Amino acid sequence: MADNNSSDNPSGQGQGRAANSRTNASQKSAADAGPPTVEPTVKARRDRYLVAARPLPGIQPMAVDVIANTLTNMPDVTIVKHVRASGFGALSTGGAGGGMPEIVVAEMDQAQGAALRASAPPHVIVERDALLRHADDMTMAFNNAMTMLPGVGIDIKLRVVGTGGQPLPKASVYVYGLGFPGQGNTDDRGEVTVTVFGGTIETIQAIYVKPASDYWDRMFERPALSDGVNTLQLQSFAATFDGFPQAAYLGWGQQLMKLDQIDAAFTGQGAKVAIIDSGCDSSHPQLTHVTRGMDFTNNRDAASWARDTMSHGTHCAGIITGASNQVKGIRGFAPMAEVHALKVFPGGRFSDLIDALDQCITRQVDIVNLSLGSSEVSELVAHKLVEARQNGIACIVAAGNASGPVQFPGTEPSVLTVAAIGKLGEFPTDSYHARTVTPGLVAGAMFSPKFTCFGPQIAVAGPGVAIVSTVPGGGYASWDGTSMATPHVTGMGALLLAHHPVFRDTARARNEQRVAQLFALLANAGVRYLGDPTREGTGVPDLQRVAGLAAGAGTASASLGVASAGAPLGDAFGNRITFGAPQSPFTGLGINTHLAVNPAILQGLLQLRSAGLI
Amino acid sequence: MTNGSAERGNLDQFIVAARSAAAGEDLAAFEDALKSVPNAAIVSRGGRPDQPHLVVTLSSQDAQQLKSRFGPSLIIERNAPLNPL
Repeated sequence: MADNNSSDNPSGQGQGRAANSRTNASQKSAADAGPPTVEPTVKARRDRYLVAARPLPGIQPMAVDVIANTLTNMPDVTIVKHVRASGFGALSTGGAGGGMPEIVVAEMDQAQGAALRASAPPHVIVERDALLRHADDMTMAFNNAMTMLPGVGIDIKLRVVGTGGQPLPKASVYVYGLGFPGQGNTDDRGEVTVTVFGGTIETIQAIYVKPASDYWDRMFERPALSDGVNTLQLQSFAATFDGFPQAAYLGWGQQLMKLDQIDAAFTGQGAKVAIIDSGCDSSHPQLTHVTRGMDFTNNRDAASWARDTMSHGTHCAGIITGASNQVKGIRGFAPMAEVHALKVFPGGRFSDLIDALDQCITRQVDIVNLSLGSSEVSELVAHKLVEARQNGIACIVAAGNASGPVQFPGTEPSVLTVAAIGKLGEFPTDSYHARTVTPGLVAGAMFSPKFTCFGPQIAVAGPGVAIVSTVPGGGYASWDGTSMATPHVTGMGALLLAHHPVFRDTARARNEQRVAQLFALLANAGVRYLGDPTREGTGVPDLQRVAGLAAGAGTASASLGVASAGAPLGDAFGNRITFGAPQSPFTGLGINTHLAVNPAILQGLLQLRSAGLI
Repeated sequence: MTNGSAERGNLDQFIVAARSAAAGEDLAAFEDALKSVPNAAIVSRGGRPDQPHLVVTLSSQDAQQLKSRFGPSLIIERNAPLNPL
């Protein structure tokens, strides 16, 4: 049960990290501690707990003073009040000296409270001082006409700022209360007021902030909100990756696939790549070389493909072909490839996909990125994909993000279908990226994100969590999805088509055999991290494992199959479970679980640890 | 009074194409048949000259009836939306 990531590519990690100058965000905040430039960001709301002696026959009840002293000595615990009860049934019969047990009401954060409950001795009661609700809030809402009347909303005033307190406009803010979430976008001052119905300010469960660009998203759970303006602070990419985007940043996916270890002359020159998506903002400093396209949402217009209102195509384009122009920024796989942006979103349907694939055939494209899918199946699209393959066009297709079986057209045998894989330590723990991790799907530092579709059609996996790439307007965003995994494989495919010797001679002919040869090279180069072929196929393609591409790569397996034995998923006892993989920007936030510990005990220890009690 | 389109179900988009090059005439026949279907319309014509297709709006009931008539020579399927993933 080796940590495949570290055993398979130690040199890759080392070199990659050297290329990036990363900083642990939490460390940087501490190091930069000076005069505050911004009022404190919203913190997690603290819970109230009731703590009292539990009378047990033959056991001396714990004195209230002892309970109060214990709580007082705990860090960050505040005693709010004492409640002198007048009788609680069984409790009332066992108090010392016949009196009622006194209850200490204390505030602490949720993790501390959970730890306190887990560690409480039998003769001490610890329970949450939960909010009371009207009975009809829970059971009568759909029966009682009174409760169907529109309630009075509460306005949550928020200000979203960066690390230095600068306002962040155009950030999407979602507020989750007891009912439907409220949503709004920040104005030029970074401010937004979101109205939510059906609860008080204390019932707000979470606030999610998705910045327009250049910052990590952030989930504020159980936020402690006031009636005034509440400040939500986000962390910039520049704080994580020093000097970004002026300084070069090599994505974790590019490192995993060893893009930094190939001949610098391998730039994809000569390969034709099509991206069938939402267009591509070619005014982005890293995408100015993208000059070809067609807009199928606008009567095949030859110019409007550059207006990407969804950002999706521009993000995919950065992964495939992001080039170091005015800024270093990210590194795409094939910056010298000839890229064709074929726009079908928003509003794309099967007929648009057929037209776009026809255009690929006409333009003699070599490889197509299809970060799209449908819940339905099309016989006509399936025929067109076969025709494309017969014309030597390799279609690389996303598996889907529905957490279920692979979606069409990823189900078609004529294409190469890509699942997503994630890596711990590559994103802040309070970002939405962290929510894609499911404990049972972690193996070493790698994990299969909960959203990825799976099944026997999965050929390979690509990096698909916390992928930083280009977005319209000149910025960058970190996104998740099989949509992000797929362009990693498309970009590598373009490199192979442009530079692998096997495509220089007979296989250069545009036919089905060429596509089959490319798919075999990609699959052969796979490194398995998870041990589950239905979630990763033959693994993540590794440029160093492609026989014949680069010096020293001759050790790669010559036959289609498993390139490395992966750790099985969900082995929580033999593998490292951590949000802080070695040398990652978010280190020091995980634990080792090499010992075989009962999961319940482990959970208790985790709670105590997170509460600062051990 | 009942509304004809309500009886037939909501209008939706369908793609229509010949199963083989030899079935090109059937696409023309389909287009003729479409003229007698209430609320049906051609949205666009696409495909290469040797592989033309029509995008039409039809009710699901009318689509079923046309499929039963033209099914052997034409593919008639819902022009379903795609999603970026």
